Amino acid sequence: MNKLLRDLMSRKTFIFSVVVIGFFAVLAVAAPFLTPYNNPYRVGQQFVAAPYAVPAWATVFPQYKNLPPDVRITLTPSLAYESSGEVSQLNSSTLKVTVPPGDTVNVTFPLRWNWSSPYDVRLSFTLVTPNTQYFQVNLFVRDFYLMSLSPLPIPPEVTVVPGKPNPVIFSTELVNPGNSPYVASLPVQDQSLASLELPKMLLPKPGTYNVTLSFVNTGKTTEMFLVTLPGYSSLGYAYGRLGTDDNGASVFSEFVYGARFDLYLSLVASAIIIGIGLIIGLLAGYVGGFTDLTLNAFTDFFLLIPGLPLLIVLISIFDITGTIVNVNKAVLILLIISLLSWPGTAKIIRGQTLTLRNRTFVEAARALGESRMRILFKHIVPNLMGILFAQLAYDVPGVILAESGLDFLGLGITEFPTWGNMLGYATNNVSFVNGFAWWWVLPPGLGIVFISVAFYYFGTAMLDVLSPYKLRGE
Amino acid sequence: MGLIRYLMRRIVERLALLFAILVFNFFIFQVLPTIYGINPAQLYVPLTYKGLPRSELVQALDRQFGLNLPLDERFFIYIKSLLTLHLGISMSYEQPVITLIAQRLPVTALLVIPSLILSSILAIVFGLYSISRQGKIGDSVISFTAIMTYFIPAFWLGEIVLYFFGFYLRIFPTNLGEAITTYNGHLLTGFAYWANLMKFLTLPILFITIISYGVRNILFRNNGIELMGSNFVNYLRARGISERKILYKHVTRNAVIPVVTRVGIDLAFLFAGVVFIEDIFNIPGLGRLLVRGAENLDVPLLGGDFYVISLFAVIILLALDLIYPLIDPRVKYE
Amino acid sequence: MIEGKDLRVYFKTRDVEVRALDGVSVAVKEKEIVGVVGESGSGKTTLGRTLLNLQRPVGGEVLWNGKNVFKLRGREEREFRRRNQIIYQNPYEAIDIRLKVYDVIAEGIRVHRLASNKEEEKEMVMNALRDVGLNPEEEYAYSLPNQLSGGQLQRVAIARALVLNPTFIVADEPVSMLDMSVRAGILEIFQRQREEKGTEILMITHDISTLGYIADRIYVMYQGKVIEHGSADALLEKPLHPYTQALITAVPIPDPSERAKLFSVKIKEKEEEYNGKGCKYYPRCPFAMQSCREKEPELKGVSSDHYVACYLY
Repeated sequence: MNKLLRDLMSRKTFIFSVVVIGFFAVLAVAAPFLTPYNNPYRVGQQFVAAPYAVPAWATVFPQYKNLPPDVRITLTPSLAYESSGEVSQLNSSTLKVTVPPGDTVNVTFPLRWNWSSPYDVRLSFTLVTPNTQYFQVNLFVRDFYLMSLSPLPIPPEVTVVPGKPNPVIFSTELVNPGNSPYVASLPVQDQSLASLELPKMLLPKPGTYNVTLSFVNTGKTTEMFLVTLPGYSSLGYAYGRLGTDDNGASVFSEFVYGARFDLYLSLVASAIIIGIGLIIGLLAGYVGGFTDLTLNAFTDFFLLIPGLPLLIVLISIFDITGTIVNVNKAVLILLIISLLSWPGTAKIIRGQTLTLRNRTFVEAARALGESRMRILFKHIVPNLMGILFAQLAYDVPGVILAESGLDFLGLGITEFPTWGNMLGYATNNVSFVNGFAWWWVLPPGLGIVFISVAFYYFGTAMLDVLSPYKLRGE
Repeated sequence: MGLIRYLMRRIVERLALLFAILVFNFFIFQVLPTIYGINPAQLYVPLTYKGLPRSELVQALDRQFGLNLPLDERFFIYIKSLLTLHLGISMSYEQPVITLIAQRLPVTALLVIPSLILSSILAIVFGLYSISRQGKIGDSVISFTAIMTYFIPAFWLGEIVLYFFGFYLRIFPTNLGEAITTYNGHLLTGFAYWANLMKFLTLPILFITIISYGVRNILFRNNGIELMGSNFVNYLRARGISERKILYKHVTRNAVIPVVTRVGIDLAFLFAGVVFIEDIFNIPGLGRLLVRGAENLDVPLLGGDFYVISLFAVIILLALDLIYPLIDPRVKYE
Repeated sequence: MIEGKDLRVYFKTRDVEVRALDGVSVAVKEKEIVGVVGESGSGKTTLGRTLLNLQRPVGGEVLWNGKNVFKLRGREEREFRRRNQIIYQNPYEAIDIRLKVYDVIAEGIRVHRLASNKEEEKEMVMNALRDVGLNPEEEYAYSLPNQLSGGQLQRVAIARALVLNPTFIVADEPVSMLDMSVRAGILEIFQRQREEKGTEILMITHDISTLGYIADRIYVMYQGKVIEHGSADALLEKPLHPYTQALITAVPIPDPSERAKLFSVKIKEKEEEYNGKGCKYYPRCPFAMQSCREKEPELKGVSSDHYVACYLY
């Protein structure tokens, strides 16, 4: 056993394959710990950052240098207010603002912004208003009059209930002429673009910008407002390890869960392929005669049917009749790929069984009095181990490529990430307009290439090391 | 005597295979739906067609094609229609399937045959380089690249190549329609038509060349290296024949045989292999027809296209059986 | 006692039928070492394999202690397998080189359940190794076949057979692959086995000189037929068939002047084409007569322990 290991470890290609396969295996197994998003294709798990956000580490490159990450901070008022009597800290998160009759008190929260514009801007706070009709609270960022809160429902003012805590949310995504005085003031044709343009105007470049809450008391008595420290949040253009796709979903999550599915599917499918191939190949090769003739013709038939077109036809037919078949699509694809891929493996196993069967040591075993079954399991199958491992390894890339192809064409799995449908979605979005989202296009493709090459080398190493008789399969 | 027996046996075998494929077709397109209790006509009928209600269409089709006959009678009708290439009418294109296929076949051929030749030549040239520098860095690089290209998902690299050369660098046209028409939409004629067509096809052809090159290169290299270490070559060396001559004459001639086999098999599955490339580069060939058929659930189109692809494979394989003994003297007409 | 009667084995290739055994009868009596000699293709290996029911003949029967071996089933068949062993020419081919030497030898013990426990099995294996001269046996037992030399591995193959206590062994060119220096050692094992245990041995070889040392009786085969057989002494001293004479003349002798004293063999200048009915040897036979071309000669006894199929006698 040690010799085997030493043999293997002396091969650079084997070490390469083990490292690569190990890497993806860890990704696949640890997926739930690596990312909180288990299905980024679900709407709820999208927009974790801006669409087409680059990977966070890519900001080291000059062209991505100033792209903002996701930001989520609680703003604090500027120091100037601490001494004034009008604004005071009620507790660590709440300010008390006292406004004399007919007066206005502005509370300014400086926002330190180190990047270029974000994808959106969101501000949220809770406001407890006095129990009168005579007040108004306005929200400004820089000089933009973004929101007006008042007890009276006159658009573009937003209604608040007097004397109660009111959760207030401002989001550039949700602005319209009915809830934002600034948008209402724009020419009609520009109003619909406000959501897109506002983030660029509010936070155009690195700098410190003021978020101002202006408390207006139009009544005749001094009134008191309570307001929580506003939370600022925005989606950035630099996110995570591998950025985001066109829906702002984490590409890393997709990649990891794609790896998980692809590895799982391909290993199960390869096992099925080997299972069928071994049974048919062994039967044909070892029993021989009429059995061999029949099985060989059967195998030839499957081998000669063009695989991909048949796959496409079958998937379509099953799709049409699918209401009745009613099986999980992944299972269906798994079965179809396995059932179409075994002939090559069966042929190789048959060939090797034939050559093994005619070797002198098999006759010697017969001369010793061993039964056919014992010869099969003691001498034939163990000597096929190398071929079996190699085939298992060689089948994995085949399955991954076939499955990915189907997904890519949109005939396979679309509901959850696989490397294939990642490629499909990613390449569909490669266009002159969107540019080339390399962080999205490259990982699944490279993943497929590397894992395929790794399995190929793994198989070759196994074949060489485990086959004492230097049997060669293609 | 032996030759005729061999020919007859091969022909009978391949005919049996063809028959098996016919049966298989029948099974998929007729028996399978019946098992699930679906009238096959329903597969052939779009949801609505020219405003007629679906049930009426189904009945009409039933009457016309005898789809409500018992399976055994239908079997003969089906076999007969396939053998006489009556493949039905495509629902999505509203044209006879056989017409569609006849239109697309030359397009795919134009795409595949040049790349077949090109990649075989490349595989042998690089293979020779590899063999003569076995184990050196050049050999390793070539072999690794060949293995890589074998595993690169065609559709993925295709999109990337298309983006960079088509959209980004704008070296090649990306749309067939634009490529072969003038600015005001007239079809180009004569030389300009062919020149622009080839310009458009350059990228996909190069691309197919790259992805099909790997297997042949590896086959050629491994065979060549094995031969270089064989007694046959040692004997040539002992006779004082130069390494160059051994490599180019004796080894190449023997090592090229598996490559020829491979090319033959590739040729047989020619229409099956370029599905992705046609899809990516938007080339109206047979592969794309199949994908379209699948997308639109166009059963007559799917069935017809699949049948023609299989039929072609059987014919090429038979041709290959017959010429193979000419290439490889070790194979005799048994 | 094992006896093959009128054995016929035909192999069909695409267009020709090769008669590997064409009515061959042999008998190996108790405690006998019998040699079979012939050129390659003469059917001598097929003969060995047929005697052990590893090759089904199209005609004839093999009697083992009076029972037809092709009809043995169940317990009797197992017993036959156990008592009749074969040693092949190439030990690297004949041994599953994946297995350790220990397992190679223990295989037969396990199949026939000869050992009641592990210790007994181990003892049997070690004894077998010692018997074939592999010392220290512990070291050899746990090595892999490809760590051994051809001679050592052939000893392992012999041990594998001997551990079953066979009464009959077919030794199919057991030393032809081995270096001259180790041949004698291997042959000695067979001789000792015969002397100590009374094992019958069928020694197949193309080298008639080997048989001079070890065989009691010799069969000479040519193209699927036995053309001469008799006691080793009689046959070697006075070979009758022209083919046998040629075989013996071909043996290298240290002093070439000795050769002429034995006898001289005329060589036919040009080979004739075989007409399909005569003696198989007449195309090469310098003494070929008209009768040789018409009908194949039958084995005839020229003395009580010497038979030949040739019209010259």
